[in-house]
Amino acid sequence: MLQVADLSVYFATRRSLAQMARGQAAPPVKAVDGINLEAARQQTLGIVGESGSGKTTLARAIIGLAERTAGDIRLLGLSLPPKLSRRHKDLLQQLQYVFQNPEEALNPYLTVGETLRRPFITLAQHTRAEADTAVQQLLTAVRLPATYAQRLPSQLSGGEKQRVAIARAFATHPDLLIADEAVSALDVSVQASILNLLSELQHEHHNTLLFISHDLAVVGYLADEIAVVYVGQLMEVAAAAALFAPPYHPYTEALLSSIPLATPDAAQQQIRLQGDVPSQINKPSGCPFHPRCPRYLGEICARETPPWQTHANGKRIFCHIPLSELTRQQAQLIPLETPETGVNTL
Amino acid sequence: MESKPGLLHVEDLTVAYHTGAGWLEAVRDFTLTIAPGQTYGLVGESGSGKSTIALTIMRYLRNGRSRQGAVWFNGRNLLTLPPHDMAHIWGKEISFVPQDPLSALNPSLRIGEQIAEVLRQHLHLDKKSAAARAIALLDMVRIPDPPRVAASYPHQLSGGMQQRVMIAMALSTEPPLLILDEPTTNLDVTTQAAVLDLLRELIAARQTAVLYVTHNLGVVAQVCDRVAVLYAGELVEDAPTHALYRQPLHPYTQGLLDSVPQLGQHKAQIQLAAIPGQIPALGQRPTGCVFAPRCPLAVEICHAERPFLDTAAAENGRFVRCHRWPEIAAGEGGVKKEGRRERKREEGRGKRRREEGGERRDCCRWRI
Amino acid sequence: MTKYIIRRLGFLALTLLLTSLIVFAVTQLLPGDVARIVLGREAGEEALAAFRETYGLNDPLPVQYVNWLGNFLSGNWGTSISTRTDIFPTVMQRLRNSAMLAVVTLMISVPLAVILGVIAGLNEDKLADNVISIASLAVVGLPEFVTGLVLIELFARRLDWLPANSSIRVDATFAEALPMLILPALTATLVLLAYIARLTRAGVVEELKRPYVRTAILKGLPRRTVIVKHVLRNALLPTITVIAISFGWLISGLIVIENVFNYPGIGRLLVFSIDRRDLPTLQAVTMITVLGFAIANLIADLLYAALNPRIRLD
Repeated sequence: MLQVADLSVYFATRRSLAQMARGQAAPPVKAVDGINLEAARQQTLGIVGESGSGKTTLARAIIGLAERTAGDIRLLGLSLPPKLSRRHKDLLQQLQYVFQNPEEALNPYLTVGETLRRPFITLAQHTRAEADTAVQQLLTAVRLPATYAQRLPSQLSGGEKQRVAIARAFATHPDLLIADEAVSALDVSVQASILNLLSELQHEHHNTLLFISHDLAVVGYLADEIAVVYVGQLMEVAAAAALFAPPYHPYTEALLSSIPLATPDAAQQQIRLQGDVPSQINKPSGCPFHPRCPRYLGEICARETPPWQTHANGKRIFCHIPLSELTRQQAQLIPLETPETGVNTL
Repeated sequence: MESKPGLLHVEDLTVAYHTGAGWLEAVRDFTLTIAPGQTYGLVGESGSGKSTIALTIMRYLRNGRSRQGAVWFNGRNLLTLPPHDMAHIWGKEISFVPQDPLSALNPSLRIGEQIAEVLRQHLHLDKKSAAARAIALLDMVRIPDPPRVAASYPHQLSGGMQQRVMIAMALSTEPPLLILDEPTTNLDVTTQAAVLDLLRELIAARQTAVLYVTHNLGVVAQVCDRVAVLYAGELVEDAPTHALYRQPLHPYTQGLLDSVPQLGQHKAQIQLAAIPGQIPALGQRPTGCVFAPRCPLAVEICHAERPFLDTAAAENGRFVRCHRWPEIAAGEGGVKKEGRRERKREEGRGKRRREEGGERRDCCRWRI
Repeated sequence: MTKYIIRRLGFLALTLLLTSLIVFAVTQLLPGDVARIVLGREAGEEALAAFRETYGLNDPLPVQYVNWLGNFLSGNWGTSISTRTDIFPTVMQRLRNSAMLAVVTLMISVPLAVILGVIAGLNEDKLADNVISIASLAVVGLPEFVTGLVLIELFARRLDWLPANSSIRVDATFAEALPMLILPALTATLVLLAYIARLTRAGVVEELKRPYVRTAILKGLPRRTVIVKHVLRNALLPTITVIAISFGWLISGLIVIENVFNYPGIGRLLVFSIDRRDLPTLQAVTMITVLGFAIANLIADLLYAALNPRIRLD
């Protein structure tokens, strides 16, 4: 369904005077740096990363909002033009997205009905009456009362607005839905219903979902396969079940041990990263994670690009340390059998 | 002066905001006691009134007013204190660390000066020793190269470093009470973990009492001794952390815990239980229990009568505001708790039909 | 910062080059033959031809432009057609006079405007704010010649404190000129006052809402420290920029006031040269006012950058 091959997105920076004098080009910001991904039909591919990881730029490049510098993006086997303006209408229908902030995604002066009707008339060329019927179906699909068609965004709660945004995305029956931090701005109790909605709609529409978030627990819950990104590069790609068991990429390991568990008794191993995420202009040589890596091997990490190692369970890790060695050193960070938080014992 | 329990004792506090529609209560009958050295989590979603409570305790509420109750701090009611006296409490007796450190720091003053001015004000240090002490404080919060950072401006530091600066500033006068308002919410998880480690260590070493305001149940579990859960301006449950997570007694607390996926949980095995509906708007509070309209366990009395904050376990101080808590605690008497719904896996996951409406399915945590 | 200054200087040079092109082009487009204007209606064809030859008026336009610009840059601004004197010293003298007036204006208006603006900002929507805002808006609405005449009537005629006419000698010293500067400066002040005061007020109101002010208050700092050290430092940044820009505006924008008070500044010279169709003088005055404006803008930007660490340190 979706193939991302060697995708790079660099942003130009301004040249300094010294660089101008020497006739050098300014070093680019390497927001996305050689990423390969694949997602099958009906699959949910989760992308998890911290700020500066390039996860949002990756989404924007696929959507066409950020122009790629190199590589190829294919949807249903067809290469997507880098620029949104060059993309065919059919392509726009096949690829829809939902962003973090529903406040900004909806036109405050249009009613929900008008917002939802638009894609039917502009993209699918429905008549007005057909479109109105379709809007009612959509509202039902996202579990909103049909009367909401008359409401303005200001009359909706945050969760309801996100439902409308999702409804709009599904109006054209997209093959690929990109959700970038789609639940991050919502309260936890609302977040759960949106996650459930996304996964239910996926089962009905058989669409591929690219779910991007900083929250590993949420990505782990929703995604079938998870890619961990760090300064624009993939560190690890694993099936959801495999991600939470060793061997881990040392960065994934640090992420997992950093998440505060909602179980006060859990004896969590504390792996802490030193320093800050490096700049995307002067990225570290070799493995980009080496300056902060708690399992730093030695010079090889700073000098050579790590190999992609594949584990028996299919997970792929971008690291110099042999998988067997990682497995030996690493503890199981997450209890695989999640204990019930509220067992009835008095 | 009558003696009051604890270091901070918030008593029967009601806070209202003035709006076009008159005074609307954002916090109702809120009571909380923090002992010296205790870390107290104040948990709630947006609109729960948690920040209002924090700012009322600090007596820094804009366009809002406490309508009832008292905030006893070291035997004095902060709400009736002359405004001038608050200046001696702010930064000296109670320190505040807000959510977004970049906007909370003055963009055009050097870091060192922003810390040093507190030391000069409250500890009466001279300029030179205040500057030296500021650098020592930066070292205390494990900022690398403190002299360089002291000479920097806020925008030159990363978010994690900025929040460390705020923590250094807050602890510079060794106050007995620290109020933290979502201090790590804007930070990356790896940065958050390091900041939480630091906070835990510094608080433990100083025996500083903490009111930790957050929406993150994980953070509370890792940092706090006790937790108060707020819903729509009311305290619904108040318990020692371990007890609360082991067995929540209020359906809202249970709902909160069930709506967040735990690390490693997957949609194939577990269906998240969202709480249907939404928090009532200010001024549209239901007559009975505030949570009744969204509660899967609500019965007639819940809609008719507002429950009072009941003592569930006197020995460890458990309080809950629910008509049905005894049944919940017993796990019987008509209330049977179900584990999180296990998904039935049929062959071909795409063919799984939705058997029930979404909202109804969202709240299948309880069976009555 | 050095990089920033160099970049700004580059922009300045570019602005001036563009202005010179426009000024040159406009004078070419004006109707009438320069030689005819200079030599008068009675001059013979031969004299006209000789004049054109001497002053290079037969050269192609680009050559004329380059020559003109070269002369301008080397201070050789030519002779005034109307007064038959060197333009350069005249313009410089008038420029000095206008600058004196501008300085006195700023010395009166800036402290007054900033104080009023800060008072208004700290008392947002209270009585003091409303009085200041309404009064300053009432004044700003009046044209300069009205306020100027009112001030003359009041301070010169009725009270007889200050002279009504400011026609100083063109080479008068600052001390000599000062008494005559006050009334025109007051008139200009009334124009600037509302503008600067409202901007200051807006800056203070906006900064007071920022979270760092809450941090400063909750540190237990005295109110005066919070306002002077924390709020004003940030609130006055835009004001400083505006003051620097107003200086440029004053140099060129005093046309009406200088004429009302009969003050020999650059504005009067401008009107004079237009009256007499004195193109070389007009060119010189235009170039110099644009230069003044551009430099004032540059200073404004540099000051802003110097006071704002987020720009200074990048």
